Amino acid sequence: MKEILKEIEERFGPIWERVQRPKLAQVGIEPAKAVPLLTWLKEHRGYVTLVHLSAVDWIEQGEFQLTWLLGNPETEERLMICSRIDRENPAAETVSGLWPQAVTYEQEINEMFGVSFPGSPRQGVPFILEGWKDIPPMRRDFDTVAFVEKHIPGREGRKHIDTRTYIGEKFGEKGYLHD
Amino acid sequence: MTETRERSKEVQIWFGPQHPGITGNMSVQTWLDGDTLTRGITHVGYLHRAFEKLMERRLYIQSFPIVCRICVPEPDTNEWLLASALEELSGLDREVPEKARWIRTLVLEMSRLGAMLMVLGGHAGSMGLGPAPQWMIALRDLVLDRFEELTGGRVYHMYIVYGGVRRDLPEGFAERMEQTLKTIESKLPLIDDVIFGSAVFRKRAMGVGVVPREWAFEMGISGPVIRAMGIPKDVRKDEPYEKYAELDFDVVTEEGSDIFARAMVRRREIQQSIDLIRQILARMPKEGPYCAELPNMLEWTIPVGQTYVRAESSRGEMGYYVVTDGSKKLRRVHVRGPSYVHGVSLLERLIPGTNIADLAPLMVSLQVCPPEIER
Amino acid sequence: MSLKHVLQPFNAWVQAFSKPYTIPMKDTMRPGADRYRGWHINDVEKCVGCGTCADICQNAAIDMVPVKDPVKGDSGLRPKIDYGRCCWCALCVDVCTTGSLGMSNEYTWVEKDPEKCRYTPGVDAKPWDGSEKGWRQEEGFSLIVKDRVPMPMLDPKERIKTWAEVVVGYSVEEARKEAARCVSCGLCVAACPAHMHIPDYIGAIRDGDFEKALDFIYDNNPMPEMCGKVCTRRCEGVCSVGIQGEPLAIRWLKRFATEQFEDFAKVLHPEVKRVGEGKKVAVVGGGPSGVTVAYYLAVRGFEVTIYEALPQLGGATFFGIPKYRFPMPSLEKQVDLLKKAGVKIVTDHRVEKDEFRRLLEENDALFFGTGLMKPYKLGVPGEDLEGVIYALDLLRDHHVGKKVEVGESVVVVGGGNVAIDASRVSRRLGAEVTIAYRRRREDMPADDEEIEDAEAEGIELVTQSIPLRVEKLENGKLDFIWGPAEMVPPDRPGGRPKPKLIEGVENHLQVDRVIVAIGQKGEFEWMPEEVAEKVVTSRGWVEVDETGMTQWPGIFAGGDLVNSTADAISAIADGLKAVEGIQQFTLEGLSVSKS
Ligand SMILES: Cc1cc2nc3c(=O)[nH]c(=O)nc-3n(C[C@H](O)[C@H](O)[C@H](O)COP(=O)(O)OP(=O)(O)OC[C@H]3O[C@@H](n4cnc5c(N)ncnc54)[C@H](O)[C@@H]3O)c2cc1C
Ligand code: SF4
Ligand code: SF4
Repeated sequence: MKEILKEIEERFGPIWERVQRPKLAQVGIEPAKAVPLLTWLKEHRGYVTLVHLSAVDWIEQGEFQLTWLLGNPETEERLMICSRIDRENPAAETVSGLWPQAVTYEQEINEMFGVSFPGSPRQGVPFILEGWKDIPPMRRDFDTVAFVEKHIPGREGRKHIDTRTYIGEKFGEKGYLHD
Repeated sequence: MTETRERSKEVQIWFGPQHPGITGNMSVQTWLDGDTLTRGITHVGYLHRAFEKLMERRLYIQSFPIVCRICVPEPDTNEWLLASALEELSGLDREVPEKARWIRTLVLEMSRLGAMLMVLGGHAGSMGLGPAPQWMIALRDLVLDRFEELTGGRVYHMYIVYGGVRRDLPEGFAERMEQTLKTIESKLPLIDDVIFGSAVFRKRAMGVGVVPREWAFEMGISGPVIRAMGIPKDVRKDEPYEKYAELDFDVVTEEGSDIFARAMVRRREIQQSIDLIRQILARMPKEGPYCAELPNMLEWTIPVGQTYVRAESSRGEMGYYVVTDGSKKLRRVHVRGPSYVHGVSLLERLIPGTNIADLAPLMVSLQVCPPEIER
Repeated sequence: MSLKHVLQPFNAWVQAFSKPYTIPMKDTMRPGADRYRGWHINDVEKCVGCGTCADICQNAAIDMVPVKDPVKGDSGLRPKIDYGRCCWCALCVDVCTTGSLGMSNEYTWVEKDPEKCRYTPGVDAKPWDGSEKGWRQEEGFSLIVKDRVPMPMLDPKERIKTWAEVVVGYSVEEARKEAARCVSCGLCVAACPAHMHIPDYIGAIRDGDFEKALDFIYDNNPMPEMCGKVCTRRCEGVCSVGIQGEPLAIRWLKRFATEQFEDFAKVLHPEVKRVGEGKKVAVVGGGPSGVTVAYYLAVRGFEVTIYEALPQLGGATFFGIPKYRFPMPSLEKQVDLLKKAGVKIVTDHRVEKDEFRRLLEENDALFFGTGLMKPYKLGVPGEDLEGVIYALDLLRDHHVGKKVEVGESVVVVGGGNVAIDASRVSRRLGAEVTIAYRRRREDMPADDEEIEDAEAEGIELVTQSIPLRVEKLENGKLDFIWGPAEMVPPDRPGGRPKPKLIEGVENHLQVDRVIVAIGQKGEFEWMPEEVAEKVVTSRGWVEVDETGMTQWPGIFAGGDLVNSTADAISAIADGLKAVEGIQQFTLEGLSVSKS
């Protein structure tokens, strides 16, 4: 996989790369160059399959990562193309023109992360959620526990005692350096 | 003028979410002209349990009992994928013992067998051929008996864990497994009679639901669907995992790319699984550990990394995209099931021109599994 | 479409005549497989209520509920399972620290009221209690780490040539790895006399935050580096991980955390109200109890002076415990913090009666922790011969820098830590050493590891040996004469088996020194009679109330002469108690000088 990584570097400028397994490599590239790279890989290098498209929320860095996984059915090699976009008003270029199934992936990411793919046919159309009002739920700052407590309250009469705290209280554990 | 008239003839029907012909809890919104479908849209969400999100909020070990629930008929592939991804990212893969690798291969094949028995029954059931599905479910139950004694559970096994498997093979397992395989084999000719030998099945399956070969690679079609096009794609050969490289088997292919060909691939893979299980049991080491020494699972952290691992499930290429961030919990896990493509983009493309009566058989032949679409 | 394909399906009819493989429910209830994951069972006598099962349950199906009073080593809580949530993953069973939790192979239970589908296995009786089958822990699979990270030690052959510390200490990697074994149950906190925040500092070490660890540690122990090296570690005795594996190396982890810092004052930033401003407290005796009182009162603004007869603070941890276990720089580091906290330290200063009376006049409260300084006598003929010495004297002389000689061979009489220390010190002074102990090896009060270390250094252990007399030989050596003992049942039920001399047999051992180490007691000659009368019991102990105060209002006491455990951490715990007592006493406007 070294050759293809080298070629990508030469053609598309600085990238971040890593060979994860003999048949799986990762490439990090700036968002503007991602789709040109994907197109080139599909059209000239046999990476004709879009295996999946996924998003990762790096909330601490204020970024979303998009990961397109391409497959070359000839060699069975896989390339993971990663790109980080701004978490504020996130948007990325669609690949639905290159791969029909990308429509669903882009629809789902739009729904679950709030990343939009202008020009992709089913943007804004609910896929898994219907009538969802909250923030896109796969974002890291969506509070699952609060959601559950609000919508699906637990069984009544349950009371769990945390052993660690309980022992401290029962045996008079105290601190002397802090009030 | 003509256009409006045409329109007014169009009938809209919701196929599912509760319909015996639907492969699980989903629905297809269809438009009909006469009894011919003109258009269809897949709707999912009836089963959404937010597995991927849940796993981001749990320790790695706590995610382990979750993944099996993504697939009822074939939970083990999910267990293996999560284990293998985390082992790769943590370096634990170097410590998985030999015996564990054999047991895992065994479990994966048992699970494929159980799933294929079920879906082959489904093929017949979706055409109203009653007895076959019942027999197939009964045969599958015999496989579940073996699962029960091996893993302690019939449906959700929670058995393949980071570092290996949770328990050793019980005493006399191989003999009982052989007995089960024999029983299954003895019933297969009868199944052939009532399914592949049936005029109804042949008439409704041959030449129906043909997937054009050109779509195969671009759309990422896999499993029996691609093999029924005569294309020998199988992850067990393409990127062999666990002990598959050491086993003797050929990729099953059929020609025609129709419902019949897909059913036939499954029929032949049932036999293939039976053969593989025999090979595995014959070569399984008798002694040795079945799991690596694990770190304290309540405090396990995995360094920053990402990977994609894949396996051949009965439905096709199942993959896990896993991202870790150095903490005790997953940053992201994305479950890529074959149905995501087969059940949405592919199904929607195949629907126009299909007879409504063929929609259920078509969906079964694509082996659409809604939980793996919406996770 | 051929006729064949029309007829072939009718073959299905053969099935109508074959034996069904379904099992008729009416005849038999099909049992679950041998390792089926069915309803839970729990051996509640074995369960210690650590709560690890509840921690691992990803469904939050487990509540820990009280079923009895907490005691050391058992929280008294037991897991109660909500079957509305349980997914039968059995992670709780596999993680269970004691192996008490299991699952039966029963899988049916019908109940009209779903609320009933919650129970505490082993407490609420169920038909499957005592089930032999079902999911249990198995050899070869563990979700916790049972083996301890081994502690590097100096080679026994090398270490007897030096006074260098035997225990090398964990590297950062080793310490973090060991710390990661903790399941944070907190049972240790109950067992520690000072109730140190153990899971918290272990957690901080695991996360690599050593400053935070030190902050937790110093929160209720002002001599943690000492404890990290020599503590009797009652905590480790109840560690839940230790029930099926080796306990966490709690002592070594504390040691590791303290060793990361040269100057504790730079790391610790006490945030307490300085309620003691303007109040004066005198502390007599610079052992662990006294140091504890002095330090925590000083950070609260009290003006504290500590008086110590020996040239260094530390008490028995200075003059008793050998330097290969607890080196001087470690002690100095801890004393240094005391100074920086503003404690006035007066060493080489033995408080006598008059001064004590004066201290009563000048202070708002007074604490004494003067320890057990007087050795017990052997009580056999020949004890007064030259060459029969006391371990406490030997160790003290050696540690204050006096020249000591033990000759070529010694016998040490006793089985406690003092005996082991005297033996190992003698070994390092060049002698062949034999330990003579009355009971069996398993009865020895000394720490097991210490005994092993001593044996590794070539010290011989003679158990069930009763000293008869000591005689002087022509060659100037001593003849230590002893008789063998047999073990007889204890006088009262629950007591220890007793050694009984087997009459008529005499064994001889030629030695240069007989070192007596059979215990020590309090010494009160320095104490004014009117005080002693009130605070010292007829048996030579000092009794205090729950605030650490003696019968004399305003005089507090702690340490070896108060507690029955006589170890450093108990002395520290006594000190903590007195800190609160003294604070309370003085803040109520009371004062020893006015009483
Ligand atoms: C050899 C030996 C080994 C031990 N090993 C261990 C061990 O491994 N682990 C452990 O936990 N414990 C050990 N101990 C016990 C532990 O050291 C004691 O329990 C602890 O030090 C008791 O503390 P204390 O506060 O009672 O004072 P002590 O340590 O007993 O100190 C009392 C201090 O008071 C001073 N003093 C007495 N009278 C006066 C006076 N009139 N004026 C001024 N000063 C006075 C003494 O000089 C002494 O320094 C050991 C003890 C000995 C002797
Ligand atoms: S079996 Fe699993 S879900 Fe049930 S109580 Fe135990 S850990 Fe929780
Ligand atoms: S883990 Fe085991 S010992 Fe601990 S509370 Fe649960 S059942 Fe009891």
